[in-house]
Amino acid sequence: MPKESDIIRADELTFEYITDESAAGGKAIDSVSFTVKRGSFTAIIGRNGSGKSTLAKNMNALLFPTGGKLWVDGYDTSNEEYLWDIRRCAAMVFQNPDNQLVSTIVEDDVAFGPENLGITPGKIRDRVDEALKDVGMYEFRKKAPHLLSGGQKQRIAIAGAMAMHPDCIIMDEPTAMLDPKGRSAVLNIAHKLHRRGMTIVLITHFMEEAATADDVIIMDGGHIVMKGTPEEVFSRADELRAINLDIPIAVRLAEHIRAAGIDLPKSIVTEDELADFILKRTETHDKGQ
Amino acid sequence: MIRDITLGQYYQGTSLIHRLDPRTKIIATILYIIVLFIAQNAFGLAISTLALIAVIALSKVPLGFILRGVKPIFIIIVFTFVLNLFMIPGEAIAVLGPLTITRESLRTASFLAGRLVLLIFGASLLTLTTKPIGLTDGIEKLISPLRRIGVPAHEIAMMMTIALRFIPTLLEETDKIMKAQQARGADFETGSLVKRAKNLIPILVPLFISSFRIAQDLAMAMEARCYRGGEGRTRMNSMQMTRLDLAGFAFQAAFAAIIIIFGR
Repeated sequence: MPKESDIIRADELTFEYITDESAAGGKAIDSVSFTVKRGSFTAIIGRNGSGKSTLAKNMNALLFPTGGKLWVDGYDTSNEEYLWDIRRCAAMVFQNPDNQLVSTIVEDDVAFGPENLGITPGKIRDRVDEALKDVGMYEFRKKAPHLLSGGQKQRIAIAGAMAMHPDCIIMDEPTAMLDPKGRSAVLNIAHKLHRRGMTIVLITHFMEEAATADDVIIMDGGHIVMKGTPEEVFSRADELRAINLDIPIAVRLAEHIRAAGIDLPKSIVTEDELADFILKRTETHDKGQ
Repeated sequence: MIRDITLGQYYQGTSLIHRLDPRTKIIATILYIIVLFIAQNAFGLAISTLALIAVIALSKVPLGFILRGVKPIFIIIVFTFVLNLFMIPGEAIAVLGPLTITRESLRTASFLAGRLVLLIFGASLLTLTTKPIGLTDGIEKLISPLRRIGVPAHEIAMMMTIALRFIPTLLEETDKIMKAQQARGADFETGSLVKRAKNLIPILVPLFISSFRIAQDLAMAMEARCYRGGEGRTRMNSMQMTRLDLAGFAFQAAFAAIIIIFGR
């Protein structure tokens, strides 16, 4: 089968939690359509209850669409026949670092996925070592997970996903329960894997994390309210404020500078970009004098 | 404090005993317990003691470490000893008020106590020299032939692994809940036993609920990682019997034979 250029494609995808037979729960996802390009870094942002986690679980066939279609690597997720192909192809990292590790030893935990796939022992060993080196946790391979920090546990969870050799990693708020140090470590790994060609879907409510993505999808109340590059999305700061989302600090600062009459390009969304711009401007300013 | 707890009571080491296959050690422990009850005379118990001492020496686990682990059980042994001492009729050798010690009772009580001590030492040596994960893998392999009669071997082993994995997580959870209750004025340290037990209810209820939530999260994470039961599953560390295990079995066989021939 030829590889599609879109690893994930949703067409009018709808998901409804049925809590009670008489009273149908509201639609957690309401006919959303989008694509995730192979090799891209896509951030999905939204407040609590915006449907972003439900969307993630649909991408891993942990939940099945109640309406519309979702394809992962060309497999229709509503077809149970492809369940295991989908789960291998789109590996998942969850929010709570404690509740997703299965084994009492780090390397055994990373081996859990490949073991389930029925891979031969020698090859599992290679994959585990490689995945642990990728996340920088190789020297912790014999440790018990409960002795590690939250950020370290989350890195083990990423290694566990990597060891399944997926085409895409879906991270469902992986940094929500971490301290700043753990957060940046996890994000750095996500970006490192992306640079090596891995498709990353990062679900988050931190705007700063989204600013470094290739594509941003903003969700609210089960709908996609905006999608595009970070520049496109964050240039519509007023609309973001209208749905109570934070604006990245660099964008806010840029707004103030712009208000002061300095012409600042709209494409600046990260702190690094802003710092570069200011530095360059002061240099040319110095030369001009 | 809670982060320091050890899982099971594994003593890190690389001795001959540590390197034995978990299956060999599990079989040896069961065999040892059976043989202890076959042994009927002093010679039999003496040989059993010697064998155990030899294995402890080989395992290089410090005696103090073993003793610490079995301390709580000694009360039960003392209790059994005393009970047997006064309960068996026969030729009286000492009278303490209404209680009589007989020759038969002394013999039975000492033998029973001796057996129990050896049994506990033997069993704890198994957990001291085998990692919990090795134990569960070993048990899974040993009971897997019973799958044909419907014993869910893989599921039992997986349950044990998860239980071991989540003991520290649940302890942390308990700690969190207790602190939250204490912050709101709960008192777990004073009062009568009944009152203190009652105070535990507000801890147990949220703990129960949160363990269900953890179970749900974990089940989802396991499914996401393609878990679908033991069928078609491979293992990274496949256990392998070595010549060392062969030696272990030879030692066991010799020991059992000696006891069966001379120890009864």
